[in-house]
Amino acid sequence: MTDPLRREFGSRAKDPVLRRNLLRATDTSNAHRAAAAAERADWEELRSRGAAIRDHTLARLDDYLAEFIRSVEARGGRVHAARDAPAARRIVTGIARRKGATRILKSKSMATEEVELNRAFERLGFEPLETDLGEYIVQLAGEAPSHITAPALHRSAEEIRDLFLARGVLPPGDRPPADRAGLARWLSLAARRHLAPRLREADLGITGANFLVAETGTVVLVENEGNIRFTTTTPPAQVVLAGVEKIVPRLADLAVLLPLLVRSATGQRFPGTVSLISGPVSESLDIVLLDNRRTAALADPGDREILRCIRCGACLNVCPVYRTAGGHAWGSPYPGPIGSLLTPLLSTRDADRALPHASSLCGACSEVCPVRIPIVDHLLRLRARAAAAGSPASPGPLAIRVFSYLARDPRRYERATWLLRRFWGIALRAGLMKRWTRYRDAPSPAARTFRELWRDDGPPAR
Amino acid sequence: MDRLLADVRRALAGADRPELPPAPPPAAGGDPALLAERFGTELSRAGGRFLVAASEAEARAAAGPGAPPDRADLLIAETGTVVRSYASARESRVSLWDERCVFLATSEALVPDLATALARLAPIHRAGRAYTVFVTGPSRTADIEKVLVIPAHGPRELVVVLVRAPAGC
Ligand code: SF4
Repeated sequence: MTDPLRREFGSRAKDPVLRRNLLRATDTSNAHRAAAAAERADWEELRSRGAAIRDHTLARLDDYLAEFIRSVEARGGRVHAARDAPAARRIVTGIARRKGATRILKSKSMATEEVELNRAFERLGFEPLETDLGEYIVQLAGEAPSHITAPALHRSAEEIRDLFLARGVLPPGDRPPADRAGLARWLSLAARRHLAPRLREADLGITGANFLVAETGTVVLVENEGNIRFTTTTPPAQVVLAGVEKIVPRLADLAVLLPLLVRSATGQRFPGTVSLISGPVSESLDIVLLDNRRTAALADPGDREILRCIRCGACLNVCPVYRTAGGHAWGSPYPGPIGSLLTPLLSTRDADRALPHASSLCGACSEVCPVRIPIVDHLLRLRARAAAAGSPASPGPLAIRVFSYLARDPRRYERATWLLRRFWGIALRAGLMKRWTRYRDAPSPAARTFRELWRDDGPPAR
Repeated sequence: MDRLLADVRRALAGADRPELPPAPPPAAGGDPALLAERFGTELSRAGGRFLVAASEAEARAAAGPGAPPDRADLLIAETGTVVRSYASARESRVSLWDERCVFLATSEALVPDLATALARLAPIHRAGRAYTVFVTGPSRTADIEKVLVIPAHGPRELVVVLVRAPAGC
C-alpha cells in the first residue's frame, strides 16, 4: 500500500467503536446471506446462470442499449446519455429546473453518489430529500454512505440517537429506550413519522435502477421500506440515473437475477417491494444513462467482467479489510473488494489506482459473489496494470531485482545472508522494521544456513 | 445518445459474444390448494396475514374496517408475494399510503414461482406503458444496526384474503 492509502485504512482500523459497529452489522449480514444461499438447492447453478446472463448482455450491450432506448421512447419516456459526471449533473439539474421542482425526493442510488448529484443541487440552493432510512441518516450527518446496500452500517444506534436529537428528528426531551433493539425500533419509527408528510407531496423523484430491461424498457427497483414507491409515484415527474451496464435482455432474466441479488444482499427470499416501471407512471419519465468510463471498461474483456456486478454488497461484508476499516477508507462510493476494482476503472484520480492493494487476497469475495466475478484475479490484474503504469504502489519489483542480483552468484548470496544474520537483530532493535513488526512477527534467520549445515553435517539421514 | 451507442459499439468491436442461456422453465401449474397453503406460510414468514373467505362480502368483513381493499393480480406461492399492475401512480396509493393494506384475490391468481409470474406479466409490459409492483409483507427496514423494524415508510400491516369461488360457478 502507498502511504496515503495506509493512513486512510490504518487510522480507521484503530477506531474501536467503528470496528464494533462494522463487525456486528457484517456478521449479521453474512449469517443471513449464508442461510439464504444454502436454502436454495440450485444456488450454484443460479450463480452460473446469473454470470452467463450478465456476460451475454455486456458483450452485446450495443444492441441491448439500442433496444432499451427504443422501448422506453415507444412508451413515452425520454432517454438521455451522460458521458461523465458533470454531464449527468447538468442533465438532471436541468430537468429539475425546467419542471420548476424544489421539493425533490431521492432514493438510494450509487450512480447518483458516483456523480455527486446532491452537491450539484445544493449549489442551486436546495437539497433533495434522501428517503431511504440509512441514506437519510448519512445525509443528516453530512457523511457519505459507507456501504452500497446499507449506507449507515458504520453507525451505532446510540450515535444515530444523538444525531436525531441534535437535528430535531426526535423531539427535545424524548426518552428512547436504552436496549439496542428497542432503540433501533424507536429511531426507525421516529424517522417514519418525521418523513411521512414530505413523502406525500413532492415535485420530482430521483431514483437509480437495479436493472433496466431491454425488451420492455422497464426500470426495475428493489427495496424494503416503501420509500422508492413514494419517490416514483408521489411526484408528477420521475428521473432515473443508472449506469449503462444495468441492462438485462428480458423480463424473464429477473427470475434469475432478483433471487441472486436479494439473497446475497439481505438474505431475504424476496424483497419487500419490487417495482417494474415501463414508461411514465405519472406525467414524465426521464432516464439518464451514465457512461463515466464504463464504455472504456467494456473494451477490455477483463474489465468487462467487473461490470457484471449487480451491487449486492456481499463481497464487502465478508472482506476482512472492509470489516476492519469500513467503507469510508476507500474514499469512493464503491468500497470493499468490488470498490477496489470499480473505482480505478471509473475514476481519473491517480491515487485510486492503488486501491487494488487494499486487500489481503483471502478470496472470500470471489467465493460469495452471486455473479461469479473472480474478484481476486482482477485485483492482481489491476495491481499489475498500476505497476506497469508506474504507480508507486508496490516495492515488489525493486525487491525482486535486488534478490535476483544476489541470487545469481553463490559468493554474493553467501555474503548477503551473512550480513543479514549479523544485522537482523540490530535492525529489529533499532525499530527499522516497525511497520512490519507492529502487527506481525519477523522471525530471525536460522543461526546456520542450509549451506553450512550441508557442509558441516553432511546430507540428512534417511 | 448516438455518440454513446457508437462508443459502446466501438468498445465491443471484435468481442467474443457468448449466447444468452435459455430462461429457466416456469414451474408446472400445481394444485391450487397446495399453492394457497404455501403462499400463506410464506406470507406470514414475511410478516403478513393470510385469510380465506367464502365470498367477497365475507372477505371484506374479514379484512376489517379502513380503506377499501385492493385487488391482487397474481399471488406467488414460492415467496408469499402479491403482484399488482396499476394504471397510474395515483391508483397505486391504495396499497401504499395507509397503515393497513388489504388485497383480495381468487385462486386463479395463484402461481407457483417468480418465473411464472414474470411470464404472465411480460405481455402487458411488452404491449406498452405498464407499472407493476411486487409486494411481500408490510414495509420494513433494518438500516439501524440490522434490527428488523416494521413498518418503515409504507404500510404497517398487509392482509391478503383469498376468496373461494362459490361452488357451481
Ligand atoms: S462484486 Fe459480486 S459480491 Fe460484490 S457487490 Fe458486485 S455482485 Fe455483489
